Amino acid sequence: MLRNLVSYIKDNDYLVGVYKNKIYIYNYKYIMDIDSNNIKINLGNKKVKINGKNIVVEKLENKEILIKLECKGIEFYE
Amino acid sequence: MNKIQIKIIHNNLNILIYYLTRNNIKFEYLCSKKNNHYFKIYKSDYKRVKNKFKKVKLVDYYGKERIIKFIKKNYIFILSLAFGLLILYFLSTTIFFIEINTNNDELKNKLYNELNSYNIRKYGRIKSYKELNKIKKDILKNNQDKLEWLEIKREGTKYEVLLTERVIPIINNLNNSPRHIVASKDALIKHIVSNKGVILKDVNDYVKKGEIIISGDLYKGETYIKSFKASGEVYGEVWYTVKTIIPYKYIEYVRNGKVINHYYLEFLGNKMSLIGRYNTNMSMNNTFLLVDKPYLGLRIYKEVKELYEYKEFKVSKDEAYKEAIKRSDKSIKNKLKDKEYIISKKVLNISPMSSKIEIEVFYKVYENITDTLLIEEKKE
Repeated sequence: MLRNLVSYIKDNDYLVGVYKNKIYIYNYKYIMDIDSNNIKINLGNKKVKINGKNIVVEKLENKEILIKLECKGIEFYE
Repeated sequence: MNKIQIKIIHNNLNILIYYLTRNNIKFEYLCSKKNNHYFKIYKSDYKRVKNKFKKVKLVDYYGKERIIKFIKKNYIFILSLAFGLLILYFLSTTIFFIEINTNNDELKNKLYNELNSYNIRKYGRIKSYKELNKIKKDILKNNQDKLEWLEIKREGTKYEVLLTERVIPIINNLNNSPRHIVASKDALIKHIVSNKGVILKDVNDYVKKGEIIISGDLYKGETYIKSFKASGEVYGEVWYTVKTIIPYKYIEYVRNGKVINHYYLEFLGNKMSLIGRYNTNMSMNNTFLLVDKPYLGLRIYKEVKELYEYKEFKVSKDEAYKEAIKRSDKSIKNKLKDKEYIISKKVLNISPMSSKIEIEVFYKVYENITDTLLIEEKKE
C-alpha cells in the first residue's frame, strides 16, 4: 500500500499506449536510437524496441513521446 | 517556458525529426505544406535549430509572449476601444435632462432644488435603484403637505419626475363663512326664498348686479351684532336682446360617408406615405400613433380621413325669418337651467336684405339670479 502511495505521488511509472497508427509513451527516460523502421527507448528499468514503417515522432516532451507509424511489433527487454 | 511556432523549409521531414529527437529538442510536429514543415518548440531551442537549418522562420508565439506581441501590434486599436468604452460608460451614466411633470411652477422649483441637494442635477451621475428609492421617500416626507405621490423614473439619460399634488380641503371652511346673497345680474325680482338672513328687497324691486338681497349681517337697532351665513334663492326677470342673421343661400359641409385610412412614416421630421395616400382639403382628420421608436427617430401614424362635401341650401324670406326666430330661441334656451323659462319675447327689428335677413328679438326670462358675497370680518 505504501509502495502504491509513493508511486502515485512520485509518478515514476512508465506507460506505453498503443493506438491505431500511434504509440504514446509516458515517463520515458531517453531515446536510444531512431530510424525510419525502428525506435529504441529507455524506460528506466526496462527498454522498448518498436518496429514499424514510416516512423515519425509527432510530439516530444520531457516525459511524453507520441510516435506515428504503421506498427509491426513492440519488444520489451532489460 | 515560452513556446514558438517555426517553419522549416526542407525536402525531408524525417531528417528534421531525427535531428530534433537525437538532439533532445522538445517539439510538437504540427503540419506540412509541400516542403514547409511547421513545429512547435521552446523558444530557448530556436537558436540551435536555426544554426542547423538555414531556412527557418519564426511564425507565431504562444503564451504570455503572444499576448504582449498582440498588444504591441494593436495598441492604438486597444487604446481607442478602451477609451471609447470609457466614454460610452461615462455618457450612459450621466443625466442630461430632468423633467418634472407639473404645472405648478413654485412646486417645480422647490423639487429642482430638493433634487439638487441629493445630487440629482443636469450633468450629474445616475443613482442606483436603492438610492433613488431613499431620495423619493425623503422628498415625500419633507413635502407631506404638498405631495400625495412621487415617482422618479429613469429613461436613458433622463430623469422624469411624476407626481400627484395634495389637494387641501378648504371648501368646508368657506362653506361656513359669513356671506350675503346678492344679485348675479341686473333684474326685476320675481321670487325670493330665504332660509336664513335679513331680506332687504321685495318682489318687483329692481336690483343691479352685486346688490345685496338677503343680508348676512345682524343688527340690533343701528348696532352691529354679528355676521352669519345667509342662505336662500332669488329668481328675477332678466332681459336679453338677441340679433340673428340668416342668409338666403348658405353652404353646409355634409359627410359623404367615405373614410380613408392613411398610414405614414415619420423619420427625423420627414413624412413618408406607406398606404392610402389621399390629398384633399375636404376631410376631418384624426391621427393615431401606432409605432414610436424615438431612439431611431422613427414613428408610424394612422390618419383616419372622413371625407366631406359642400352642399348649397336656398331658403325663402319666410323660411329665413322662421329659422332666425328658432335660432334666437335656441340661443336663449341653451343658457337656461331647471325652473328657468322664457316669460315673453318680442321681435324688435326685421331687416330683410338682398342676400340675408337680420332680426333683433327682445326676451324676458325668468332666471335664478342668486349669487354670494363673502363678508369681511368687521372690527368693532
